[in-house]
Amino acid sequence: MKKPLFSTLGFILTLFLFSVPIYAQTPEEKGLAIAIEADKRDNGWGDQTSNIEMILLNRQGESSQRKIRSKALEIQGDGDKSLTIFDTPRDLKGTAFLTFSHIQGADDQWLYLPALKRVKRISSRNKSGPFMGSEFAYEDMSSQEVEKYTYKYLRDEPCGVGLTCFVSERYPIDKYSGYTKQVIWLDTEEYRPIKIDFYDRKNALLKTLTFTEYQQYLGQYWRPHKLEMVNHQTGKKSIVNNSNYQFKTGLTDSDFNKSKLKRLR
Amino acid sequence: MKTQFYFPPPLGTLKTSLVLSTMFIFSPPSFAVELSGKGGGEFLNFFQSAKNPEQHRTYASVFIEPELYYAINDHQELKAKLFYRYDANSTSRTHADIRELMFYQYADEWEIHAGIGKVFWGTTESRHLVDVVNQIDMLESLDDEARLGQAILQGKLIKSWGELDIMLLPGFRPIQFGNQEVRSQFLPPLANQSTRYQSKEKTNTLDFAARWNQSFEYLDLGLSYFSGTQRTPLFQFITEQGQPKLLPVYVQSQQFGLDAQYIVNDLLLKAEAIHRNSHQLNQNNQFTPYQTNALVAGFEYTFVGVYNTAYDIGIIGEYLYDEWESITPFQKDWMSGLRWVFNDEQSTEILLSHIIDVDDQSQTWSLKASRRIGDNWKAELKGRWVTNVDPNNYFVKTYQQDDFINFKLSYYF
Repeated sequence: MKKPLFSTLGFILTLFLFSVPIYAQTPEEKGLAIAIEADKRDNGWGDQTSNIEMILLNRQGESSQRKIRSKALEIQGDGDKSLTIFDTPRDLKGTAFLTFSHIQGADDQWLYLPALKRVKRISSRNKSGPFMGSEFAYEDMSSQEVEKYTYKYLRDEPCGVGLTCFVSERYPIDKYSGYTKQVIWLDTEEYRPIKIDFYDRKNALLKTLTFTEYQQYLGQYWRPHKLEMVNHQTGKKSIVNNSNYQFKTGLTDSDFNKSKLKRLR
Repeated sequence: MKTQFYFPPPLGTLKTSLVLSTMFIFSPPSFAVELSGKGGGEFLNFFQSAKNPEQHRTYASVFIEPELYYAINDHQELKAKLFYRYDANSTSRTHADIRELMFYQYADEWEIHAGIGKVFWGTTESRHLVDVVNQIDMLESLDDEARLGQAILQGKLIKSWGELDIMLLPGFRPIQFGNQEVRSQFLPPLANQSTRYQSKEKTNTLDFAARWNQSFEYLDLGLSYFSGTQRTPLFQFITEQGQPKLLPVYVQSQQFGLDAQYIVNDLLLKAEAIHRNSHQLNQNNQFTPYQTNALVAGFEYTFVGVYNTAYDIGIIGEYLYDEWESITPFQKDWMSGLRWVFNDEQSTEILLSHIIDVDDQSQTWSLKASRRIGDNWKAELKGRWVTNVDPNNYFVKTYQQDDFINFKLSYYF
């Protein structure tokens, strides 16, 4: 008696689970399901390194440049660990940021100042603040976790050549976020972010971030080689060129140790 | 032109530098040796006229601080950082120093450093109590921000229970106060005769230092120990050719230190505390044991993105306490500070600080501002002035009529 009951129940359950994404889904559930799928597709990259060139442009078109090396370690069940090391501007050469991002609560962040040989623990509450004078806020650069937002699916619409996007709103859970909401475009084929509109605390459109020049790595992970952030309120723009992506380079927890920041070159 | 190169006692450093220079010759520069650093010019301007005929109102100087890096392999490297200043108005401030000439050996859980270098310990803003490994470079800065290179043989352990450093420090470097043309000057002036040391070895001592530090969830904690020649001198009143003079005296000391920082959202709580097991001079100018405690404790609170701007405004408050009156003015003082971080492309920052002596209300003000110009230049402004000076506050009185503003322009290469 037991066996058939179980398999029947299992069958019903399976049917029920499969039917949820298809039928009877609220916009909130669909928005969350899309975010979970995007996260799932980007799961398992392990560790990655890349070179970042950031170009800051003001309204007059004057530019300045920052060169940064980035290392990241995927942490299952929590936010990722990341390390950014500055090569330019020259007065910041060797300056390093170590971040342990967390799904809940404030991130842990340390700053190494090579001129002083000093490792300084810094308050990471400053999420909404600009990263190195750019149009990127610290929270735009930190690891994107499903649990950091609530979601609401809006519509599907074309987004670029041959692409269709899911358009959803997402609302930051962290009360210290600089945003009330973000509108995010993810392409329906690969679930890659194509565009994000950021709305400030007064719910006015603040910035738009576009992701282009995607390349696929390890047959699975898509990475944009160009990001462009435009601030609509100031007319300033920051362009990020990513290069030399490498995956599974063998980085471990011990490479993300605050005691080893002094070793970095 | 007086050039003071520092050669530490035997530690094979000369050999290291020979190895280093050989490597430069045989390695193509683009391959393994990296040259970077900065150089620039400075104008140091005093608001009041000179106190003696050798002093000036303005001191103009140029400096260079090249850094060389050589990676021997993945686990071994050499770093060098040299410093030279030419001051057109001061032979004393024309000086050179080896800030760093260090061999590093890295493993996963340990490191060895051998050579000349600098370490930093501590958390507080107004005073660096626990940071005793490197001597102050008094010719470079009157606050204790600039330090002289120190010969160090250091072993480091990096474990789950924290980071442990054990250091042997061969050789001691007395503070260079400079000649009569340097502002400020002590009153009575420093003696011409040589510095007095409690240790028979004088500067050829072998000092010892150790520190453990660990990060907990919201707390960073460090415990340190130092044994050897106390970096801060005492002063003995002597008579030299019928004139009253001051003689710097370096005593033997043990220091137990604690430094901590606790983070609560935008609030940083900071503290440094030390116990000195040291010596002082009795009425017969003999060394007698002397035990003292000192503390700096306070907070820094940051208002993030004030009034919907990118600006961060930090307010700093620190209480300074020290039982040893003859080596420091900070018996009971309160420091207030205002830090304005612009978060702009030029990394503009301003720090205004004010220290008031709780007992006699003597006040010291200081201003530091910096801003990048283009991608490679940086402008820095630094000022210090004293107000409401009590005639009995010896240290603050020394800086009276020596209010200054210093402008520095550096090129980073």
